[in-house]
Amino acid sequence: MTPLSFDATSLIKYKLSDELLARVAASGSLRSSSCRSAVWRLVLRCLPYETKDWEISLSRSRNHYRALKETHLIDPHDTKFSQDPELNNPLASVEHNPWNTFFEDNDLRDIIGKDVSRTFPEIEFFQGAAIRQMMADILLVYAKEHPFANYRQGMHEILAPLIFVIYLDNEAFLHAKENDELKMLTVEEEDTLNCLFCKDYLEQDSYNLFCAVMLEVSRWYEEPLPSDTTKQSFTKEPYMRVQDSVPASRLMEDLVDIGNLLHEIDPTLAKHLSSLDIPPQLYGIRWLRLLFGREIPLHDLLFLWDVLLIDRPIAPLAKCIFVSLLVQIRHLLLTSDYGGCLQYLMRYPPIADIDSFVKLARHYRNPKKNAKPVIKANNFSHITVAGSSHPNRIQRPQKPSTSKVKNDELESPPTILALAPVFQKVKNSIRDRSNTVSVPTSPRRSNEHRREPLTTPQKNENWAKEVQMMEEQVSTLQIRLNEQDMLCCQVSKALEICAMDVRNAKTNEECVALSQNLLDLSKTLVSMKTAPIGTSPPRGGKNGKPDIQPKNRDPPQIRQVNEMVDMTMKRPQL
Amino acid sequence: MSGTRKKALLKVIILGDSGVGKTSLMNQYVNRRFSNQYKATIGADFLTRDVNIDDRTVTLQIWDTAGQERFQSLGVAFYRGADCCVLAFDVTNAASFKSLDSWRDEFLIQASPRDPDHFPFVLLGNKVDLESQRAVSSKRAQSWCQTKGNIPYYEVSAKEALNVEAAFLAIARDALARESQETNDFPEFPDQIRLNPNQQNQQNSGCNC
Repeated sequence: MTPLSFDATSLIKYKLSDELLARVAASGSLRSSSCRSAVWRLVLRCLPYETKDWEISLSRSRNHYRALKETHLIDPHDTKFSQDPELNNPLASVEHNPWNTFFEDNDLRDIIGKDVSRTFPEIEFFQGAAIRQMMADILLVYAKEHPFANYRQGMHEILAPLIFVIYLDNEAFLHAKENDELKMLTVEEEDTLNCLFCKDYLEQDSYNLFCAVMLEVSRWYEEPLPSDTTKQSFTKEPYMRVQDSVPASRLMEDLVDIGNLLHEIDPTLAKHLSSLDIPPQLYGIRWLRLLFGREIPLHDLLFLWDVLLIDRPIAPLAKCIFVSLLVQIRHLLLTSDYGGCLQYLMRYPPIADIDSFVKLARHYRNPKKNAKPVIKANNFSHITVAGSSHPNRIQRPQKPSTSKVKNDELESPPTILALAPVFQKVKNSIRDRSNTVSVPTSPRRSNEHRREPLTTPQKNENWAKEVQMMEEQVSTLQIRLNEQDMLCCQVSKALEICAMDVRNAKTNEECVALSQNLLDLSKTLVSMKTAPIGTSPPRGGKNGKPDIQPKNRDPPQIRQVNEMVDMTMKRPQL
Repeated sequence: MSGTRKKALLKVIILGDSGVGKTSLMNQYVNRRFSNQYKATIGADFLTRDVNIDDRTVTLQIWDTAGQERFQSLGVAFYRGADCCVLAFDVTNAASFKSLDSWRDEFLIQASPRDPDHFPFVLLGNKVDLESQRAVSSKRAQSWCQTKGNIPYYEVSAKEALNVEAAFLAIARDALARESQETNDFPEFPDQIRLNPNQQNQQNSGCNC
């Protein structure tokens, strides 16, 4: 029995086990839960399954981080160092001068700081000074504590979702407590959860979880073997291509494996990509290092990680996800040249139906246990995950040019599609404005001379509210656009099928049925204008013909895309 | 072979320290847009843009690299076949200027072009819109370029779209000019032996039915 909804109290109620949590994760019910972070910590063994051991375990790991931070984050002014100016000054050339370590760490701090300030620029949570400081400290402690892994670019985007998830759960728990939703728990049980979701330990708990995830991911960050071995192989093979070189790191080894796996699963696609000289080594570094964080929007990424983190070691499933990402856009890749393919791979078009996608990856991981889902070509290929218009749609129209098609039809995608980037732009500009509006909260800025009357606190608040509302409206519109876009694609496919049938039709009856089909399609198009958000596009019916009768349509559901709106509503104030 | 080959593709690689604006430069050139919301580049990134040079359409394939990434981790052969290497630094960050030597040296070692002294490099000093914070003078950058065999130097601003277009156009022109001089930067396989080139032409000229 898999619980339908899984929340903080379920942690206490159910007998927790890997099997239960794996089922919960795969069912997708963590998406709306408020204890995703706890599940991740359980499956990664940051927390024991026995709830009564949580408090001890938590206090141990939290103290551990505090001690590490004291050891590694050197403040030469700290009283634990001798404050004798002879021994403790930036220029003193004595042993154990705290300034030496301080200066050594400066470069590292600098690199980390640059990346931290570029973390998820579209999410306000990561723009706060407190969160940035927290991320920088965690990454510095991790680098010093794991000198072989050190800090490498990309680790910050593994850490960021972890902090975010723990933060959201802590907030949700507070909220539940305030609303008296924990009444069914005993005092002891509530104390246990209080201890687990304590917001004072966000940094400590994030570090703990980050280390556990890095145990799995660090293999893809390792430095390659020393360059003399690479040079040796280079002189042996002066004409080699990227894919011919001897893999010098586990990252490259795994990317080679992925190439082979693709060849088994989808030989046509594999041949196409290899004929263009596009091996996974060329574009896959980021895919693996960030655990697909740039290929999949955050709200879907967290679901993917639910499934990934519990299937450890994660490398085999990660490889299957990698291949699934390729299969998912095979229709785009097979019709593109070198540049087109690389631009799709470097700017992956957002997946519309993440559930089927995850099912596909799990199928490749274990074909006997997990059935293969029906995969539709359902990527939003005209935009990127970041929301801007896709370079392949701007520069290289993909449709074959026929004399009948007018030029302007070739140049621009259908109207609804064309609007998406515009909306995104509006949304971004609103966001930019909202950011500048909220800037005066930082003390340094507020000391500056205020030029604009807008920055008076009261107006500011109104502004921020208004901007937030507009942001939500734009998000909703974006969702509606995406829905309609999907529907358009489906209808166009149905029309194509109809056209085929018309060509093959022999009897009058067939023609009547077909004309009814066409009428239904036309109705679908008209009803589209008034369709409520979240109405699923028509599913394929029997005989491969799309089922377009309105009565057969799935009941409206709130799509997970709405989580994006929720996130901005939960606007953290740190 | 490469002397006569009509190469409509140019592979350009951008190298430089983290945060100097490599991604911004590429995006400004390709999309004519600037955003201060770029994320750190992980591994590498890629965009293409078509340009017309002397009635010829040339596709620039621009490879943007991660500032912290050293060559070995991307794979030795990643840079092979490059037609031009763009070195970028931040004029407000002296350290990024000092790293240029090592970026250039590593490129030459790893990509090993046939004639390292004449391989086309271009130097871009980015962020000149922040004139008040400048830490590297134009003169200093120019004299560095002179010591490296007169590398062309452009002061650019990805933010203000200053000189970016001109710089990349010059890069494309330079690479094309080298091509017409029949220089071959990377030793390749010897010419294929075509048994009957005419026959192939006939096949390409269309169908006979």
